[in-house]
Amino acid sequence: MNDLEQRLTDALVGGAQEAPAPVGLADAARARARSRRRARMTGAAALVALCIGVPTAVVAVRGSDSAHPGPSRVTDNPTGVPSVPEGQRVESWHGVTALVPDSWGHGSLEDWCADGGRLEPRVERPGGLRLDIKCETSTYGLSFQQLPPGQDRDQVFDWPVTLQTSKGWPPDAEVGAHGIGDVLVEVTAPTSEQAQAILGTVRPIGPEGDPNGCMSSRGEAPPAVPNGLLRICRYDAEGLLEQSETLTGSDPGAVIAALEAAPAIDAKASCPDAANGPQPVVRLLAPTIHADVDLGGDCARIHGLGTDRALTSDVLYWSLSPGWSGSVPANVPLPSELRTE
Amino acid sequence: MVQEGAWVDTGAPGQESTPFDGWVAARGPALLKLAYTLTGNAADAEDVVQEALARALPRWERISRVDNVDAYVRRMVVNAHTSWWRRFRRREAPVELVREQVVVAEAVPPDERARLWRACQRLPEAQRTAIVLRYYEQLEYAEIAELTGVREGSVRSRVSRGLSALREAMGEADE
Repeated sequence: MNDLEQRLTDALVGGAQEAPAPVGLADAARARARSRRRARMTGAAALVALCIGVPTAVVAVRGSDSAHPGPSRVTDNPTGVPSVPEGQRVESWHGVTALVPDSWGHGSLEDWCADGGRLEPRVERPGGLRLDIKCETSTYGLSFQQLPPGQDRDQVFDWPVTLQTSKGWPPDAEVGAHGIGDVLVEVTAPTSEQAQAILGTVRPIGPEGDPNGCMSSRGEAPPAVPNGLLRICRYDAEGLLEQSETLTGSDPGAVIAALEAAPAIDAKASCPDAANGPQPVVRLLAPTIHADVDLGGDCARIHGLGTDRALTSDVLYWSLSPGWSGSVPANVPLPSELRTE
Repeated sequence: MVQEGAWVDTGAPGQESTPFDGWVAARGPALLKLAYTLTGNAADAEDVVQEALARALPRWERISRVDNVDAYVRRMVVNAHTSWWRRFRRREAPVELVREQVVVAEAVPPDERARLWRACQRLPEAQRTAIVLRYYEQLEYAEIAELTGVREGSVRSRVSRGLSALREAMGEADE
């Protein structure tokens, strides 16, 4: 053993002395083993319930639609895209989509304690602003994670929901994950049942788009938009879906009014050709509107309305979905407040 | 024979100590130290060991009859560390402070030994695992190969590349 190898051994042996004390290891392992067994049983029960429950749910939604206009958050459309149950919302990232409770917020699972924040569930996606703080534990929620390159696109894998008792997790953290291709969706919930239920909604985005009607890639043609709806599909600079949303009620009209009020600009005069590289784009889709809000630095503008238009704070107000995790150029007129719901 | 997934209740808090509890009490500290050298932080080390023990517990009757229980569970710890889901989990140990200053591994003195420890923690996972098993656990290359399920030549290559990276990190000429 040479000098470096000996020093390395000394460093590893010395560093290992800082290992945590073995307090309650056997009991913790026992609790985790029980939780895993419970999760297996719950998973089997959920599968049975799903087989029985899906037709019932379809009937219930259709029944509701036939009798009433339906609640504004329900996305009902004739394009084959699944409906979104009341009280839930769609969260999509790249080629994967999931449903989470509508009450869940957005943001990093690690910085929830900043500014007196509470231990409430969030949806986290890669990128975006993160506060320079880490809390004693993470919070509950769903996180999209990018797996290293080289994953098989068709690869699907599961990490069964398991009770996490070590430091760093919130109390009663039931954690599981579902991977599709190069995207991992990890869910932390206070009950195994909730974690299982959310993981059970994780799906690859198919040719009809996600439940908001957004395609996983900007280059794909979107399905037709039913009357009364407006889709907001946010794509990153590589053209991959970052977030999606459906507006209903009076909101689509307000978006269209904001787009039409944006002043026309001379595209060539204000945007050098060299700046026309890949840019983050928010696509706004209504039955008669297909507008791309291009957030590309010096060339930030609105495309697709016949003539290019300048970005206005009203257009940005609608374009930046709640929980916006992207960045915007410094030269655009940000609205005084961002949408939170 | 105990089937995989079958529940062998070997005790519970407040109950009489079991063979499993006794083994964990004796070997738990060493497993945590191994996990700590592999993961570099206390939270992940606890997580890895708990995961390995939780998987071992239902099969403890069978495991306790193998020739080398320590080696068997050590393999489970290494596997828990390298399993796919750990690689994608958040890896930093959450700390309750604003990260304005450089975070140094707690209680590790800021000397050369600490530099070497940190450099080791920055190695790619496969290299770090090989280095830890070789220079912390003092295993032979063949033993590491068997434990990690890769060829002995690959283990040697990982150790060699790891040492080379460590020399570079320490500002030393490669031999």
